[in-house]
Amino acid sequence: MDFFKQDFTIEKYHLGLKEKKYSVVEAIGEFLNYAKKENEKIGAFLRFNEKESLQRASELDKNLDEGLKKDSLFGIPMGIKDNILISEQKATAASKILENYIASYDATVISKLKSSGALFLGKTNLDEFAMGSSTENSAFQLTRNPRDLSRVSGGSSGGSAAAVAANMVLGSLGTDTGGSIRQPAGFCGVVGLKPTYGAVSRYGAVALASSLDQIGPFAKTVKDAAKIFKTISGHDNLDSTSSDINYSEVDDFKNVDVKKMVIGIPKEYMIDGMSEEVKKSFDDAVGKMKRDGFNIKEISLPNTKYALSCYYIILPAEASANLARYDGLRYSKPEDLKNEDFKLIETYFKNRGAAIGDEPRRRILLGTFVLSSGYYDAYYAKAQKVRRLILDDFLKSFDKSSGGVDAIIAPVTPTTAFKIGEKTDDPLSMYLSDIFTIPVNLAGLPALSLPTKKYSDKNLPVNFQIIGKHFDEKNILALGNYYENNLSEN
Amino acid sequence: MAEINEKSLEHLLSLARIEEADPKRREKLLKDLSKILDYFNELNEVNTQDVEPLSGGTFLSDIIRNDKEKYRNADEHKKQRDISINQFPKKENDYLKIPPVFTDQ
Repeated sequence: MDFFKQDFTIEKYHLGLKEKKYSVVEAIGEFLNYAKKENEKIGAFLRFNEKESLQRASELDKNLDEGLKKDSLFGIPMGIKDNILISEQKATAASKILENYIASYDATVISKLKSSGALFLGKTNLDEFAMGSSTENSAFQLTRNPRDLSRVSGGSSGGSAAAVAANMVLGSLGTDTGGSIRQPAGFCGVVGLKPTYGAVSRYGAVALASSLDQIGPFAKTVKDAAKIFKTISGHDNLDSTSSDINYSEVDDFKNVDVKKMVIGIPKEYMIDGMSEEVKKSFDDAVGKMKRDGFNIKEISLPNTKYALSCYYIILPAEASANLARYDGLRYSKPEDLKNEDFKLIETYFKNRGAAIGDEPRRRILLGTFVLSSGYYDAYYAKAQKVRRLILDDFLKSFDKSSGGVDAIIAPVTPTTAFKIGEKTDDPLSMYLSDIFTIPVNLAGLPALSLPTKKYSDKNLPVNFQIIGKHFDEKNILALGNYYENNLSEN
Repeated sequence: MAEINEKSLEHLLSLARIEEADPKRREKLLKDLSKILDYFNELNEVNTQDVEPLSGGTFLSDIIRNDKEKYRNADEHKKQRDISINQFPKKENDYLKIPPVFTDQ
């Protein structure tokens, strides 16, 4: 029997375990072998964690019946973006400057996944320090799109998206600072959730821009993404920006009447630069929802246009501060350090000059510039005010007392996955691929990225996003789940 | 708004503690940064008079706890500490050995 013909979701996989069709060890063995083979052409994983995951699998097998009842992610093989710490494993953030860094503790999301029975097959590739939209900025390797190997997987969480799309794992974690979960989910045709800022603890995630970063799941279905989100969310004493919200029923959609939701489409998202393919696919999705009886209306988010500039001032400012800690002193190989030859300050210049890649370098300098004396008001302070206007646009649209909507739907990217190398020479054109995802991060809102239709070999995937109110993950997940089950057939 | 030139690039590299000696790469950096900064000019169109800056993604207020050490577990703390220290490329006892901070020159 071809193990992977079963087209697993978490539920189907659990059923097989329950019926003793395979043990956790057998299943994880299959996943590892398959993933290692596929990885040779896709490059989703930076490294595998074979011995530990098989060992953990055999521990889980000892307690299979009880574990299946108790633990929602029992035995589930996952991939973890390499900017999230797993104790005693490398965490490089795909940067040379952290090439040898071994994490000394588990990120809170990892502790939570461990206690609900999940297994980590390995760490996945990303753009260096999660800066990029194609995973081409990784200092170590390229991640190809499993749907078309000549194209990028998206980024920055390209490895995590590709691993799910290629069936190497049943779920994965990424981080989304300006679209880094939703965009690669779209390019690879899988489901990705960017949670509300504060819904998931950031403790143990390598910080890019602290006021924008969120960890979130990739999965094959909305239901599976909801299960992973439910596990990783919640207040954490170790992250003072995490909120105390009860998500215990976030994956239970029974009592949500999605048809009662009023849905908005922002007219500012229908820009000229959008490809025909994406436009048609989005219009088809809207058409299907309308015919199915959904109440959909046009709304306006007038400051959308300025989100890109606003973001690329705020992000580099925060990133330049966050990345100032990498001095190349603690995790280098001894032979790389010519300690005696230089003064400390020279060592900083040498280490950072040699080990920080082009994109982080650009953003560190940009951030240093917008925060520097004389330019602060014109750039950083201005961007913070525009950020307020962008948030206010959303809050106004969601305001029920003045005829507001319950959720917003919009495209995720202006184009489908682009060719490898197409945008690497022009950072600004790369930045422009994030125009639909960035406003959500600036406003701290949750958004679900899901395929407009079930994937078929004929076309490249196109996703759309459902944007919700703060901490309203349940409703956007319920709506996504309804769409996926009833309207995503061709 | 601002122009960026070879001199200000040098200043930024120095503030950011990054060595960039290759003239071709400096030229590309300068070109990319100028193009991006030009793009930001569109923000001049936005009227932000009387708008409160939004600094963070959260609406939470501060919660204060007692100033007491709060390690979840002493063994775990020691393990974490050891993993970090064992990675130091050069050390003396448990300290990271670095080049001299103060020198004669």
